[in-house]
Amino acid sequence: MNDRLQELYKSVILAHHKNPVGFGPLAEHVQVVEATNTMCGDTFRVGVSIQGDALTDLGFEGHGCAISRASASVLVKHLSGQNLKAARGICEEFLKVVDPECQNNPATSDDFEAFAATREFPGRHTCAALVWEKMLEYLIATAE
Amino acid sequence: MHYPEQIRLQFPLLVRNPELAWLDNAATTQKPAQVIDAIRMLYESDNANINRGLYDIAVRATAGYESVRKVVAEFIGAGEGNIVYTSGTTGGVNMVARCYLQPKLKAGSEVLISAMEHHANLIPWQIACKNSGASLRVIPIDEDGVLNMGEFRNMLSANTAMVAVTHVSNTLGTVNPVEEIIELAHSVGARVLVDAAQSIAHYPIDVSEMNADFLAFSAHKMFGPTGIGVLYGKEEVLSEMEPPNYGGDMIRTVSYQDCTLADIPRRLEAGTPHVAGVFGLGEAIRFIQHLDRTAVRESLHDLTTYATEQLLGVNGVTLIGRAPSKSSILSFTAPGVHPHDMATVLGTRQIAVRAGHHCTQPLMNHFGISGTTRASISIYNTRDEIDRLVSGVRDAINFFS
Repeated sequence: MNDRLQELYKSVILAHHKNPVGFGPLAEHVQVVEATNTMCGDTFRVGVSIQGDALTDLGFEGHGCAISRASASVLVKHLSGQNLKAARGICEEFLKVVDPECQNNPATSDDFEAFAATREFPGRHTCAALVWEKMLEYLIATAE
Repeated sequence: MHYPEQIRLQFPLLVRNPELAWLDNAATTQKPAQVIDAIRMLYESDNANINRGLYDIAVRATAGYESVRKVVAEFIGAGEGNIVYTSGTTGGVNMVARCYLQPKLKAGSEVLISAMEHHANLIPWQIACKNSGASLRVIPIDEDGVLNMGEFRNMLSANTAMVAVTHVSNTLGTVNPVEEIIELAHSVGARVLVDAAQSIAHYPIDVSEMNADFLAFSAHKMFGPTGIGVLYGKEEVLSEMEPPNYGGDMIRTVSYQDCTLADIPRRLEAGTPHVAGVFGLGEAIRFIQHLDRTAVRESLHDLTTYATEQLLGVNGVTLIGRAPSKSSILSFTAPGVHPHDMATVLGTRQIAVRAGHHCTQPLMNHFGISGTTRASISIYNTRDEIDRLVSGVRDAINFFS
């Protein structure tokens, strides 16, 4: 595999793809954030509960490509236990990391850093960004 | 004989990108220099609005535009008056569904489509049925992607108003027995629309022999430009069609309160059309007519057979669409590799394939998958490109396993 691909699918993404965090049938009591990529029809459903001010019971189900699956896995890992405000900040940070228009790369973790390579593959932006966009929309709606 | 390497030299984009293996021909084909030149020459020498200018350039533009109608008509065995220019296959199917069929549908009427239709030959009928209380019924296919003709016979009745089927499936490659379908449909008084988007480039089509009532195709899948296509219709069905648009160029006389409409096909072509597109379409047909089409089909068949054998030689690869009568389209799944990841891996190796549901979501559901990777072969593809495809598929499976 060439360097561009190695960069894109870095061990971090492949690891999350193969052993995703929180993957499995959602619990019955959770809120569901649905993310469907209209280009391919792939859908992930992210489950979340808000306990007090904190995000708990995060998990996801559904199917998609390696990048979208790893992205959902990283989301579950990084948002679990965060309060609403912090969670919004984390979503915004991730979306900047994958944004090809964003000049700097604000990644503060290896998990996020790995996704910066999707900037070089414009066709794959949605795969990386979608669950985060939908989660951010949900968090904003919840705060209102 | 057919020599893909030589044909390739006629395609500027492929010459500019010598490493590019263009295997996304079912989505769109590349354009030969003569088509690009025809479009450029129109704008450089003959650009004028058609049908009204009285100066030389306008006369040339109009004559060129109408002469292509004749070229198209001869290409598919039709009369000039039966050729309606559209924006593409989608435009043609929508026109028939909305302007011909929907006003005739009533509760109890039935429209039959096959399970393998592109969304463009599904949703227009779905909407026409919803708007009129008619039913949309789906002719089933078997696990190889072959239409169940026995079931089709059973579904036909006096209630069948329209049968809309694809000639060649864009996802499975299945070649449907359209002549037989048309004969059976006509025996119950139903009309038939054939979606020829995937067949027009490589299969000889004679609409009078086929006896289709409507047939739609796009220029861009036959080496012509995007944004232009053709709807063929028999005179009796075109003359019953409501104009999709009203405006300039489709009327005979107009007062503030009334108008009389022009004859078909002009009645169905309001407004300034895609003149350059029509010139490009005409040139694309000339390009195809200069090919040895029998040799091309044999060559495509051989290359498709080779690609099928090689892909199936990769552990775990499954072909979706194994009809005995099949075009040069190969849809496949690979173990542990999502189609999008496959297309990205192949893309970095300059191999252009399609990944996803190919605008056939119900069909993907039928096979219990979310999508496939699709390689579609055309006249400029080589054995070497197939070898690169297969080695890319093998490497991708290893990479993700």
